Amino acid sequence: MKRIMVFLLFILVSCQKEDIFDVEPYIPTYIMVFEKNEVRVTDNQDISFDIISSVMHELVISTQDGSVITKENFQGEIGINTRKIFTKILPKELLNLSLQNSSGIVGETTIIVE
Amino acid sequence: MRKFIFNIILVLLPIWGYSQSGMGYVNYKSYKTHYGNGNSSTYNGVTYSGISNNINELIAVLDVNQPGTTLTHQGEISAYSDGGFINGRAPRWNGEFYAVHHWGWFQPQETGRYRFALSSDDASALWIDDELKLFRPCCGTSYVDVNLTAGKWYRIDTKWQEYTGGDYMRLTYSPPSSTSYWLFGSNPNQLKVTNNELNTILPHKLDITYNINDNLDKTKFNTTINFPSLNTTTTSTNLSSNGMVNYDENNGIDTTKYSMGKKATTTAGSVEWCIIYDYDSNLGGHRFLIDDREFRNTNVNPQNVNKIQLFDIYDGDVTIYNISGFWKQYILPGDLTTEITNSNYQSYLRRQNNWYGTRAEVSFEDVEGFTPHEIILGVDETYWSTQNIISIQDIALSFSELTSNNGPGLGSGGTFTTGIEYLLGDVNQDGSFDFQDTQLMLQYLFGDIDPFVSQTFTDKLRMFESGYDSWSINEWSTNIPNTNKFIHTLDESNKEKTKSLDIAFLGDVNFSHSYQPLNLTTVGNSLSRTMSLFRENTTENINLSIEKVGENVKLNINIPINQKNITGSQFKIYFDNNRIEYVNTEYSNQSIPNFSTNRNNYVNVGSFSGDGSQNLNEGINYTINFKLKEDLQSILGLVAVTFVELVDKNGQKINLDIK
Repeated sequence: MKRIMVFLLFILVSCQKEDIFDVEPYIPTYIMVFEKNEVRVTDNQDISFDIISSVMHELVISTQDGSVITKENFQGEIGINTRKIFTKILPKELLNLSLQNSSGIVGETTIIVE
Repeated sequence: MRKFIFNIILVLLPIWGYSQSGMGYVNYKSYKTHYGNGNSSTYNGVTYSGISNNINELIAVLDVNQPGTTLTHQGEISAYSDGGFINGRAPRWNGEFYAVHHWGWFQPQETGRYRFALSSDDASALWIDDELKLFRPCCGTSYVDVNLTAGKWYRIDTKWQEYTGGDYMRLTYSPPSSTSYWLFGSNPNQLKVTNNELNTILPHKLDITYNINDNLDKTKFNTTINFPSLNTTTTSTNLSSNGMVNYDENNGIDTTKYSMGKKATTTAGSVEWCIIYDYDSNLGGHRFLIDDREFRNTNVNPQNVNKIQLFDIYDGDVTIYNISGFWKQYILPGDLTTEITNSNYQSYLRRQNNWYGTRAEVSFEDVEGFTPHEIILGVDETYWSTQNIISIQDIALSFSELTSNNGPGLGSGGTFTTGIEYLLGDVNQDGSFDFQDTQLMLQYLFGDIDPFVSQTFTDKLRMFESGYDSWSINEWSTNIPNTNKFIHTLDESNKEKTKSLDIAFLGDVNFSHSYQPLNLTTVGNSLSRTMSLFRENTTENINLSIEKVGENVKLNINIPINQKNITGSQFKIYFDNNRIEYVNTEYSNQSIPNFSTNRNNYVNVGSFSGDGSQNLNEGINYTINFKLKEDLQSILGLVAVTFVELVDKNGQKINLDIK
């Protein structure tokens, strides 16, 4: 009898429905803008990047032929930095976005304004 | 039941056969020749006898003017059949003394050299596009190589004769990609054949090229077709990247024939219902009068008469002169004096002082025709609004032209070299290029109010159907096109049409956006040169800095000290007017007139010396101040320098890099 009870208990447990968890799609906290060759950007979007020295940095947007159309200076902080990009007046064409400091270019990508 | 089905098939077979005419078929005519008994024949000094020895004799054999030749059969027949090009033996009167003419059109599917082989017993000949390619005397095979273009339709004719004995004509060909021969019409994948008239085969096509400056994105321009008489318009089609748009019958072209008015046709009569006046040079033609009674009981409104056929004197379009009175008056265009004098209808013309009483009966018939197609050029307005048609170089060139005191308007002094430059410089379109125009250009760039703000794309557009190159310097202000459309009329005899249009914009004298004429020699136009000083020394590039200072954003543009004699500079700075507002502009150098114009979402900043006496050799700092409307930590993209132009005292543009 004891063996029967154990067997039934075993059946009962083994037939129990597994818990199914809804897995949320992974949403990255940061868009690490310089980790891709090409990034689509929209107005008021956050862009993030890693900085290894706390010196003055410059984000520069230029045309494909290298002419600068806008830029921004800021004091970089070591670690992930997040800034906003405003696109309302930017030309709807392929543009270069680069991160520069006194050492030169530390990050670069192509942006597509949407 | 079986008999019934058989009868149905018998009925359907001819219908099926008839419906096959067209593709795969050719036309034929067969003749009885040599009087049907072998006798020779002579007409107009040309004699044929027996078997033809030359092409002229063969042509004579099939000439119905020859008394020995009679047309006996004609129709259409499969090209790939015994009566077609396998043996040439189309329906005929007998097995001897006959001749056959086959003709149709063919379309090769490959481009290159085709070799045709013509075999016959007796003589034969081959024509392609009415050009004699082969004459084959009896008997055997002759060859000819012909270069053909894939997709193009060619006319083909063969003529051959049978005197006595064996009788056949065979046409084969070898395509460029093969050495094998195929019977003509046997393989439509290589070569299509039809007996239909060429103009029923070809579709109507219209290929338009808009010659637009390569600085512009041509795909932002579009065309629509407007049908005024139908009050309809097609959806727009964007130009391709080379500025072309292609229309055909499946894509916008309307091949329907509509009622287009009435044609009055005259026949010799007994009553003078009509009057022809002598040629009137002021009218450019003859007044032609029709008695009102000729219109009665016809339901024809005199207003609708747009064509007249007058005996053997005139047959064509007319315009209305006056139809309000008893006599309905039209104008026959051109001087028809000679035609009237030489007319075979003299006995129906009664000469009076300056007119002819004309004994003619008038009948009316419907005129059918294609509806006019108005091809309209448009543009993406969002794209267009960002274009800088008038820039500092346009103004510099215009001033240079006017201050030289040597030509049309107040100036014309050796800067402009073509009529189109004056035309584009005349921005107020008063027929004179003068300081009023440059003042408007200055106001456009420097003023608080854009004088051209109400002008649409069409207002600024100048579209030339015949190009600029012949646009005269002396007569540049006449016949200026001011439309964004051209009228296309379908033509049955020439269905494949191409059109090339030169596109220009008012104020664009440097052709930065307009199509540049081939004969342009103006030194400054569209020419630019690299500012080598800047290029060679990176520390002397135009320097741009943008920084946030409290609630303000300062944009600084620095032109360094140089020796380039820069007399004009222009920077167009867009700003996000939802988040930031323009405050003012500061200049470090006041020795040259500077300007700053606030236009809602952009600021034009720069310097300009109209007479070229001052320059920017000392360098200059432009500081444009903005104020944030909200507290923002980031400012990337709030302001942007989207257009830059520097010109020197010669009006030449100087390339520069902004760093």
